[in-house]
Amino acid sequence: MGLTADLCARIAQLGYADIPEPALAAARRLVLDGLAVGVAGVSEEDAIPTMARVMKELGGNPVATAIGCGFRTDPVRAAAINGSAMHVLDFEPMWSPATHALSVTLPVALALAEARGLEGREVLAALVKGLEIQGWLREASGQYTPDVLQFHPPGLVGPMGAVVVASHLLKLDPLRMANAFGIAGSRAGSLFGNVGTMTKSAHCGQAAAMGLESALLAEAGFTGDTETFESPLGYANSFYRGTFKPQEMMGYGTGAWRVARPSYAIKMFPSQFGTHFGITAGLEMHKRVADIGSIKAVTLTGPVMPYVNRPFPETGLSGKFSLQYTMASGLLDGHVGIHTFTEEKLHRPEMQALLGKVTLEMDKSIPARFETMHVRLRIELKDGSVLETRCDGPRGMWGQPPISEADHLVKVRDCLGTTLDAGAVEKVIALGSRIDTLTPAEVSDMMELVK
Amino acid sequence: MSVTAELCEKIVAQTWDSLTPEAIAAARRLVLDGISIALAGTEEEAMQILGAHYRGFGARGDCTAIGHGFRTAPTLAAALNGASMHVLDFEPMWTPSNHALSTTLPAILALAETRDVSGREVITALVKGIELQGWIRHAGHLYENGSIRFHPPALVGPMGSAVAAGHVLGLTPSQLAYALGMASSRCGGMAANIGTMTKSTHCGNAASAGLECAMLAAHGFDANPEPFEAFNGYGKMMFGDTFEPRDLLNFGAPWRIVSPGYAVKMFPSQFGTHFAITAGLQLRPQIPDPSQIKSVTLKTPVMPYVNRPHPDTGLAGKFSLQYTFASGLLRGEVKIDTFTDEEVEKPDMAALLDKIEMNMTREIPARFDQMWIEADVEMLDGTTLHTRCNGPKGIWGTPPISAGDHLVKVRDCLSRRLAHDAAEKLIGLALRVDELDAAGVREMVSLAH
Repeated sequence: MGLTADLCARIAQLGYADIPEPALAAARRLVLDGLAVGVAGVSEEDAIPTMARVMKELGGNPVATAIGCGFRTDPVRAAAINGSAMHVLDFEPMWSPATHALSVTLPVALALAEARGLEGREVLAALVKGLEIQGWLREASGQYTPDVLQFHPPGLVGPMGAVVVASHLLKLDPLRMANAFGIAGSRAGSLFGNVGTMTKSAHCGQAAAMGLESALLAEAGFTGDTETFESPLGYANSFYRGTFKPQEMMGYGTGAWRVARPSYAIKMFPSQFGTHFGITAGLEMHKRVADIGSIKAVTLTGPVMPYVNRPFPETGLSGKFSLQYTMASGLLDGHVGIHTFTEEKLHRPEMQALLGKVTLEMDKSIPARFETMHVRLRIELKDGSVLETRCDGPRGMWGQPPISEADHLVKVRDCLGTTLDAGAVEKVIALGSRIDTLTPAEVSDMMELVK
Repeated sequence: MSVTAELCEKIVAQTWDSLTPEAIAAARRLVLDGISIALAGTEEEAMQILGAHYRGFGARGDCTAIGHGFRTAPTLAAALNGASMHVLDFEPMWTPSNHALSTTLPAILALAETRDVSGREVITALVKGIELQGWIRHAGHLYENGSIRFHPPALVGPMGSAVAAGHVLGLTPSQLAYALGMASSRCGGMAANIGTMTKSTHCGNAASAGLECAMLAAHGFDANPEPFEAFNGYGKMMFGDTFEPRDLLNFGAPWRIVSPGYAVKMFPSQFGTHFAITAGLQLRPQIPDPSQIKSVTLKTPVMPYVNRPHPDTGLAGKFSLQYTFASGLLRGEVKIDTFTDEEVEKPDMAALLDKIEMNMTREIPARFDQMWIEADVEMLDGTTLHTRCNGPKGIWGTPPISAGDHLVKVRDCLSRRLAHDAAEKLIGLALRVDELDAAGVREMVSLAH
């Protein structure tokens, strides 16, 4: 048997009973995080209502909830909208190696659960399994730093994660799953050039929708390349061009599950993960600089990450990908939240003045990987004095104590509260926290609450 | 001004009045070819599955699912009809190689059923959508099969569809730039899926993606407006350093639909196999009894994905130089029914396939506009035969397929699904599509339901 066949056989045989409690617990928290950032994503950004208007026109049978949009549609359309909504704030967890694994999987599980009346425990098992494949794909690619990454990871590995989620819920046999991987390989892609635009969020929604549709087609007998991880012109060779080590994929499900180890970093700021280092440094300096007007010059030194070097972002959305703007927000406001990234906040005269004083130095000697990078912040005041700080990792990052449940619930309530009343917020939290005990009817109730 | 901005200005400025009579005539023929092969394509198992899949969405809409007898939303119709238009591998071939029709026409027809679109605008949108695909392929400077990373229609089709749909929707230059930026993140498509059902979805998904991106752009969704020149954008990532964005500014008359034009396919299989088929047909009169063949050597360019000694399905047979050559030689014709699973398994076919040796050589360029194929046959009695095909009928640089010959193909395709009168009515409308008003266009598409 080929590697893809072996892999599919392994994936197909793993179920809820094979997943230990620490992995289940880590995944439960993700369900809540995903629903929360999805609700806030619709309410706080124009991108999702715009997309939803078009999708509503194009959609079919109202069987799956479009989160925050107030309507139901067919599962594929729902996955596209919800995946985009869960990503648009750049507030979903970060993974190692870097990708956005949640917004491409959870929407698929929820849409199918609603459409086919499935139990919460299968939603959770499918989620753990779909997260797992993305982690191994990222490892097998050997691409860890921005200089070697050619495609935006969620658009590249996301469809495969979505295939696994849907395959679990549709109970596809290994051959059909292999066909689904082949079908999905032709729907993967997405370019870094679109980071900082509305289209970035669509990468995640598309990945979810395309992976789901691939699995549905395979269920119906549609065929694709069944050896896509090893065939010469298949997914791995077309996208990774020789760096891909397919054998590493066989780590799938052999350890603690990637959702538990190396696990994920919950985001406490709604922006690109590298910017969290600058934000942390900026927040630290906010306490030390009494008067912003006293600043003469600011130097931020970080790794080489050209796509987050944006001295004067033009939109709030683009500000999420600016090391300069995010650090300056921490420094100026002492707080970085959803409302940091509005056009109004961006164009404040004091912000623009501060941005004019910031110099970004991209230092090749600093590793360009989230796990090992750091940033240094140096502020020179008009009186000649100099302040310095360094951030080796934001709160909750790998190797640091995780974000506490109480802190996480602050974020969750904040996000859900953008749209839901307090009673509904607490109901969603109660249901989401015990997702794997929910009946099909309770899953639907939960989705109705976030509709 | 950036290259993409300049390009989008230029694209938006092109209207019906910018088209030459030759371009209009070439486009008219494509509308008829596309609808005909899509109808015939719906008989394939792949399209039965895909049709049931999209019907199951239950989407409301006025757009004809060609040959499936239901109506649906525009993006779903484009996805399904694009796949149907491609699945037989019967649509025209372009140079540099691409399938530019099934990625654009379905998006245009879908829009024509949701709003008033005259036949002139159908033609204009088609010419423009095809034009960009040709220039992108050209700008990549990767002409040899196997030198590009992705299957061409999935690589450039979404961009062509965005232009075609953008024309119908009346996008401004900046909206068009966003649509192209958005579409650039939906390009891909693996060559490994050639010979599977998924290949046809490369075209359908391209048509659908470009259409959806144009619709989103019309509503204010944004993207990187410089996909062709951004350092981490489409040109660089999908093609590499060989991509020359400024080549795209050649967009416009004399129009690629005329120069270099397209090759109408007379056989429903991968284009390289048409050289092998022609060689097989040329040998047939000299070989009254194929069982007397001792061995055959096919000398071809290096095209590994069409080296399939024993294809195991009819669909895979479309991508087998060996099977297609043998079909020409054994049957004296190659048509839609050549590619059934049953035909592939016939004993005389299996016997001949066993005798074919491949000699794939780099001496022969692996591009359709320069390649050739030679066949050397040794008979059991020791005699030898040789033939060579420099290009099938109608290829670039030779006289085009005549209108009469083309209508034979069209009627053949249409008659599989339509009654005689309906077929003739459709032909009549399509041949004067640019004179039709919006209702006429809708009537034409509806005939293919």
